Amino acid sequence: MTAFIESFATQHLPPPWKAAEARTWAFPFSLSTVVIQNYLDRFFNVANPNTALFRLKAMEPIGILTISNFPKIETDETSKFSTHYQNLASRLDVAQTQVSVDVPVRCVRKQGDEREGAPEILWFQPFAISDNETVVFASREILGADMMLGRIELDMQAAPSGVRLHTHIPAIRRFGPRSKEEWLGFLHVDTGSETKSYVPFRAPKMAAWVDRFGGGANASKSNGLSDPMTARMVALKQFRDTQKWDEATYQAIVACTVTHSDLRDVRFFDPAAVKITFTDSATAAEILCTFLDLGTPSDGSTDPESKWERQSPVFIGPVELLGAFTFTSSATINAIETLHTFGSGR
Amino acid sequence: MIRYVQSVASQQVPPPYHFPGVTVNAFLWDAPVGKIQAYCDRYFNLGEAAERGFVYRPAAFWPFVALLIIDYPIMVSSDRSRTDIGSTPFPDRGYMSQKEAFVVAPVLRSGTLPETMVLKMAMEWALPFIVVDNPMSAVCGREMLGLEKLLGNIEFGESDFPDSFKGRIHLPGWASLKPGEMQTKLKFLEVDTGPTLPTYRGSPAEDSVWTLLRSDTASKAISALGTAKDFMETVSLGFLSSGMRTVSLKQFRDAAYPSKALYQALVSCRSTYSSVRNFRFYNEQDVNITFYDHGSFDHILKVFIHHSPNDPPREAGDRRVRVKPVAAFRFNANIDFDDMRTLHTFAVAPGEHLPPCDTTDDMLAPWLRPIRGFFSGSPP
Repeated sequence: MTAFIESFATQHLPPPWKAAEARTWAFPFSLSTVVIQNYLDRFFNVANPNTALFRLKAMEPIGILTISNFPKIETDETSKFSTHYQNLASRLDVAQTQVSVDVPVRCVRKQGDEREGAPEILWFQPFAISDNETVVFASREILGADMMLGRIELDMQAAPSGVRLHTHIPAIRRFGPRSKEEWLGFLHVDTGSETKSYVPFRAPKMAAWVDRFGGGANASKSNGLSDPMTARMVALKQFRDTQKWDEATYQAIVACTVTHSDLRDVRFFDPAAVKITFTDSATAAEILCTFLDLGTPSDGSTDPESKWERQSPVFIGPVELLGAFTFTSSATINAIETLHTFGSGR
Repeated sequence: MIRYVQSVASQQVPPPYHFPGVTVNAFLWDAPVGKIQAYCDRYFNLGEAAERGFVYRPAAFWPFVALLIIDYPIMVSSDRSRTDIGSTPFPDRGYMSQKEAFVVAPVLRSGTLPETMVLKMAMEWALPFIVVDNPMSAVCGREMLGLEKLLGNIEFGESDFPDSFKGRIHLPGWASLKPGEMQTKLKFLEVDTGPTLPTYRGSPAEDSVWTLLRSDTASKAISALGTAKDFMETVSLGFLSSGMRTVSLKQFRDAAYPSKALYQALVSCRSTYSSVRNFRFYNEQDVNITFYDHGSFDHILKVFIHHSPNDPPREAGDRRVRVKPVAAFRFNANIDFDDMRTLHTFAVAPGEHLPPCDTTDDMLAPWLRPIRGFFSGSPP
């Protein structure tokens, strides 16, 4: 393989990344399998359906809004990554807060794939926001995540175990030749205080699903989970052609793993008391209304373009949650595999 | 070729772009020729010369590098094709603003064989350092054009006196390279000028390049040049030609083996300055440019700052690296950014199960492009 030419500007956080004392708040909510499948077909299945040896299919009608605070992320010392800093990569630490929605899907192998029949649960992120540019560049350029840089205000002292969060993204409120991109509010979360006792998840399948996600551990019965939880994430990694921008010079489905180990300090919230709202904008409307099915962007007009004509922010929500919990862990993120390359080079 | 999967919230606004009413503050200093050559060799002259068929080297006839600090009040997509992306076309979505700073150096490309040396000859501009304060701009530049844009905090204003300039840039970095050092926003650059000339403040202007250009002889020479474009080329010491073409290395990492590249190509785009107005000089003797080499910033500065053995030694702990400009000026203009081209795709081996990336070449000299059919057939 050909060596990547490093510079100070490509001082990415090289995988695997590890983060101690990572605090995560997770909010499962209902998400239609039709909406999930539409996303999968658009971003993963349709690009070149004849060449991929697998197809991603919706599995559970669930998405999880996740807030993760990483006070310190560093490159794992075992990384063989050669950076511009020459063996110093593992010593350079960053901090970040990340917000995303994570959706579980099933990978169905087609006939002829050597791994046909192997059960595989993958996760994708319809959106992800980080407040650290190094993380954003690394996530986009290595893992292929379509991550945005945002401004994230995180108040972890607002309530016991709880969190209050405001996220802003660079966005345009309504599309028009005179509209200006601004930092607009996007996501607002207020958990309130933890509950005294465990609050059952509202979805019947939820407990079993958490079991599956947690590698057999049952979060409802324990405050200390010894088994690591590993989720395998997929993203469509693509780069535009220089001359023909609607075409891709490179496009592939890339997988990485996110592993939470040493889980502890699990706390629950009453999902009915957690307040989650989004602020609508023309830039965010597709995420909110198409990818997450959180509302109808129309302001009452039948004109399909009218959804962009809104003058003032519209708040979507509150999002009806199926559960709400938080935990502390040691997190590791690793790029593992390019599952399928649709095309490369020109 | 594969269709790019577009989303409304995509961070990439595709080119071409139109930037009306920009304010440019430019500062020129002597080029560290050895460092520019090293930059060319590392990022442009990949592989064996005989195999790639071209070589980049510093442009000896323009021995300066320039620091440009630019305010873009409006940035819009000027895509006339109005490609259907299933949503509002990019030119109709609105506009962005940004502040930008970059260091630019001219580089000369030529063929490596006697018969190609002139055919492939072109002057282009390398950007060894560029920082913006707009996330979408950073993503576009990095992923579409191979411009290695950093994201930082950029502040403008007037310095002590009216009609002067003050610029401050902070970048994410590490104050030291010691284990456990956390990334923070650190001061990277300070620029302060006196008022624009003529002024009664500051140093005597007799030695300034401005004085030369306002002499009778120079004035007549400038007048004789006729067009604003030629005037600009003259007073900016050749920096502002009618169409500057950049050159940059666009490359993608492999996910599983991130130290390996899936794709490597030299790409170019054209920036054209028009409606140039309000051209003003600063007295370069009163311009203070100070870089800071905290920890990780040393890796940036060593690319384009020449540490001379004759430089006075700095005291321990002094992070300041001062640069003395040979010219400094300011103007307003409209800038168009277009004509993106892949100049040369390097043959990379992307790894198991993937075919090697083929070489392409579109390096015909600009003066030959109108009659390219005689030399190289149709463009790729």
